[in-house]
Amino acid sequence: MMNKDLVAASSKPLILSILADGENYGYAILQRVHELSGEQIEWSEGMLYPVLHRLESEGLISARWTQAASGRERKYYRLNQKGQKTLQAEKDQWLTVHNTLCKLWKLKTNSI
Amino acid sequence: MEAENEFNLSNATALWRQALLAQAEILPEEIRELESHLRSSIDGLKKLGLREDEAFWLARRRLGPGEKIAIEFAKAKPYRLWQNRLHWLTAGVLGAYAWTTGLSLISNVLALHGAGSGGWWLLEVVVFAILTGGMVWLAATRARTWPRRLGRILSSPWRMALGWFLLAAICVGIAGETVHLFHQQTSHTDAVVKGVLEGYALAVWYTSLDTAAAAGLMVLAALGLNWHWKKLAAKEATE
Repeated sequence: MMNKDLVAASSKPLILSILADGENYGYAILQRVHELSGEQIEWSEGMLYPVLHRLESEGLISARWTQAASGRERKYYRLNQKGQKTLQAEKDQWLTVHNTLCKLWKLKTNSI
Repeated sequence: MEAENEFNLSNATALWRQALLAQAEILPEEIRELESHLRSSIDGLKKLGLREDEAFWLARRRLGPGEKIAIEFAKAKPYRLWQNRLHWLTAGVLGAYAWTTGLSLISNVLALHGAGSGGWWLLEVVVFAILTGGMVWLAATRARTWPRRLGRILSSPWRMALGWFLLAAICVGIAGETVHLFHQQTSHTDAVVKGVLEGYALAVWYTSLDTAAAAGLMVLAALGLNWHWKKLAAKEATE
């Protein structure tokens, strides 16, 4: 199981990156994280929404309610301009950490 | 949705929603979103071959207990928790204030109708008993959610809550005293005013003046705090 602090810290870049691919809703974002991480990153589902709402109040993402043909309501989130900038900054920081560790562990590094 | 093995998804979801509503930190719109998630999750699990009741149980479990979600919401927007607390405190102080002024209004009106002539005190006691009984009844019917809320208020930053409570009480006190002082200073004109206004109207006038002044001060304090918290939240967000 992954370290709790790391899961919490990585939630912001993960959500922003998923939304960079297009607008999406909470449940689908979770599914995407599970799938991409090979089910290694286990988010407690109820915790996703407070994070999404925090990102929304920070002005990084915006939300709108939609109604599917089935009548099901969904709240879709999409990345804002400010969110795109923040994502770029997050990317730089995470890659710096990643590359530093790779060098220490003598693994191949990645560049942006 | 079809019922399966006497399991009713609508009823089960309604109960689950009810439990979330008891959490002061989770707003109705957030519950709406969580419910949409729960339903998507149930659909996903049913596609994997789970029965409806099993899917509901697992989806609910995966979302986590309401208390835990509420804590996360409170962490994500700490100022909101305080806004919420202030609303409760303000409601409590203003409610208590309105109650006591209401009672004094009743006794003032009763006094106009020949207090001391006997008999009226009985009516006063009856009115007081009805009002108190009503409040106790309200408390009893709301008791299911109150202990939890009380517990949360009493948790970590209780001292701060107490501080705001005192501030609110002082606001009400100052407003009340100012109005009474004004009343005393202008009492020589009362005779003239009484000529125009009936005794009833005078009692209503001073009582509402009192309450309005206190409410005004409280609203100002609440607006100030709201502004302060928003600034605090914006600062936290940029850090």
